[in-house]
Amino acid sequence: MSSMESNSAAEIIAAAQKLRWDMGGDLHDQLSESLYAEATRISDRVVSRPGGSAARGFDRTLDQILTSRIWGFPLMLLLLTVVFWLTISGANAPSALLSDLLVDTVRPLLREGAAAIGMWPWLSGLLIDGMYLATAWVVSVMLPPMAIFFPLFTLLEDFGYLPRVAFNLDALFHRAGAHGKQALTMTMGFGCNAAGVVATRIIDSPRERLIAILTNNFALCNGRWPTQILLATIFIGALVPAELAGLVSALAVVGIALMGVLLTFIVSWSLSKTVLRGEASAYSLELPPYRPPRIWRTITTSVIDRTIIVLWRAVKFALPAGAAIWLSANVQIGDMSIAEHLIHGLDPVGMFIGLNGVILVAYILAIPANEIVIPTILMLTVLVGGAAGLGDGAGVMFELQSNADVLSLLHAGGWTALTAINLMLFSLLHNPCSTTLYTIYKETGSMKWTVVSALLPIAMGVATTFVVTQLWHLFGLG
Amino acid sequence: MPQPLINLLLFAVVTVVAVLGWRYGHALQRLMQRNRAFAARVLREDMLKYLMECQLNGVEAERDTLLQLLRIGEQELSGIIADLRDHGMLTEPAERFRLSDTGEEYALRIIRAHRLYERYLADETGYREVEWHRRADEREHDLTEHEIAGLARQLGNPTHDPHGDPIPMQDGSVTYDRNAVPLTELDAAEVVRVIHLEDEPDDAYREIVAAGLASGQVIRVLGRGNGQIRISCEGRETALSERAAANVSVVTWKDEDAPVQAGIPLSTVDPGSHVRVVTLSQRLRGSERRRLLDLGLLPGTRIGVEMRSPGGDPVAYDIRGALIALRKDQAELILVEPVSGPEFDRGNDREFHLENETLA
Repeated sequence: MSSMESNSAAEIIAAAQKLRWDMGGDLHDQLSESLYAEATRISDRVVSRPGGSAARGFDRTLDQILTSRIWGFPLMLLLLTVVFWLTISGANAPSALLSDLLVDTVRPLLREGAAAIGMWPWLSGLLIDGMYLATAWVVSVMLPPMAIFFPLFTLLEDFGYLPRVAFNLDALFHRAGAHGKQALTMTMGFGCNAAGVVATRIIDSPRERLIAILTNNFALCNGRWPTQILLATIFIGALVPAELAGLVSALAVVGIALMGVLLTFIVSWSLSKTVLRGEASAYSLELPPYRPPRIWRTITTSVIDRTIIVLWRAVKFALPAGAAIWLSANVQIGDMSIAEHLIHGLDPVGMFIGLNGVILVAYILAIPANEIVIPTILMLTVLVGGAAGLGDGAGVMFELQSNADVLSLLHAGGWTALTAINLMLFSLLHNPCSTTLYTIYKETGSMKWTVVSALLPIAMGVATTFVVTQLWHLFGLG
Repeated sequence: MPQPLINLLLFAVVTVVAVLGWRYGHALQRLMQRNRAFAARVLREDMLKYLMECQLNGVEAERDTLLQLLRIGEQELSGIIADLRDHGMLTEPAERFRLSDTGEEYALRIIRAHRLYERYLADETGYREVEWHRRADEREHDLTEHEIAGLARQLGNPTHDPHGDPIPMQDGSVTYDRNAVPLTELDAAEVVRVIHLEDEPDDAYREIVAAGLASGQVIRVLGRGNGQIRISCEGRETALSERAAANVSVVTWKDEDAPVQAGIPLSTVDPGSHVRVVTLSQRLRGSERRRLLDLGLLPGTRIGVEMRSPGGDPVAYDIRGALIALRKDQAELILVEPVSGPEFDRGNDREFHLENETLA
């Protein structure tokens, strides 16, 4: 019996081998042909296509304009500028409102409550000044711009315009070894890198998708713009005559953002020529028909799919980071807090690349979100004795209303124009925030690519700030 | 010298060393492995592979070729031969190389690993043709029996490697097409099908790849002269040196199988035209080919060339009612023939284009 079975099994295998030889190598070709033949037969019988020609005509006319040599690029820049302008100007008021509510109103109430029930000061410090404050900060800074930017972006996507942007820019990205749709994920990255990384799902070619994921961090995200603007205003603006200050500092910020775009292309190109050379690549770009955007659905889905998910991830990381920030400033080892030990330890490294220990420690502690880097820097500067009487105490992040106060505090902390320039560069070129790193891990499923995406920008940042510092000293600028 | 300048110079040196280490670290590592047991095994396996290929092709193995191929000295070669005899891989007598049954089995396993891995590189990765052979040569020695079986399953038990060489079965059986002749033996106007491209030596293979040849193509010989053979291949005319052409094996194309299908590359068609797909080039492989097939680009599919992007590349095509942009390097590999106008059963297209013409 068993010999009969094995005989028939061998026969089946032999028959399968023979069939494979007779068919040749184009099995998938033949399969696709028969599938499409059958699908066409069915659809011809049951589907009729009435009307439609007017819609198609309209689509093509719109396409002729939106992808034309003359109008394609100006229209694209105009639309994106409007989206960014709406985001930035629209986010200010709700951000201030949320900050008023969460930081300035709820926090004192929480502290009073904690005192009333006789909670230990260290516990209320850890919970309220550490964990709650960091989370409240992240939410109030992150939520409004994302809640405006993502729905606007999704509306353009829903209408069918964004694939045309990819179509227009594909030649440029092709030269860098990337997919035209990376233009969209990069733009999304200007809002939030974590969302930009999620958005790379629209790129269905494995190599190009990895390129888009690994370079998304070079798009200056929403959390880093305020840092750039603050530093450019108080340090770069001060380098030139007062009447030029506004223009020069604005140019400096735009210059950093454009440098990020340029680096996106350069790094994409190098990745596609080196480590990602062997990844499979299959290009296609569908230009779907235009359709009126479903505004209400777009807003709800984009708020839920993009904003809430990203925000939730950020909160999950902000809670432990808030605790870490507070503990590092309040737990004493010997006669100094952990943060002070770290700052003194990292100071030589920081000075070597034209930064300082405070900045490096702030980037380590504030890994959940770039939004809390500046408040952490201010708090740590006060902690190591930059200025007395500022801030809310050890481990409590704060911001100052007046730029002049920030400037005098940072001057007291030993900052120069070089520190500011290097921090602007380092803010562009450092590891993605932990939310983005976690998202990269989720999307790629690979520890290796997550580590690469963290170490690549750090290495570039350290190299860049180092070279700038040495050149600065070489030419005797400071 | 000022300190910052010294720092910058040090930085430059470190960077250059790091880049060189990245670029040549692999070669360095292999160099260091040369004296180990692994290197000895690689030499043994390469030799077995060569002897097996000689046997399969019915040619006599040459000692000089072996010395060149393995890049070793006379003494080392004698050592390896003695080693192989000890392991019972080679049979006596000593004056001719002859593989024993054990030797054949071992050699076929290495050849199977090599050809399967080349198939894998062609279908599942982005490496270019000229890299396949070298990479497979490195990998064939460390693939385990289990990994080879897994690779075969993953690829759907392919029968041939991308150069057209048959992949030995798991039981060691292998079948060659004995009717194949080199391209150099053909006369003008003969129509043949390419069944094999020899990937060694490297420069000849590069010429074959540059000419756009691929296993499975149907080509027509146009003429010969000046040491070159001119051929028509997938809608283009191209030329090969006699030396490269000797490495291309072909079989007669029987017309009753299917008519000879020529066509022009889709990339040469101007917007506003309508075409019908004749065939997809044999140079489209793996995921790239599957993607286009899945989009419905099959022989007979009608395509409307719609519009160019501002940069001229990609171009958007109407494929089965969907607007799909494809890049030039893809469109070059889709062979089409012009048709007079849009399909009659799809009035939408026709109406639109009539409108457009009236506008123009």
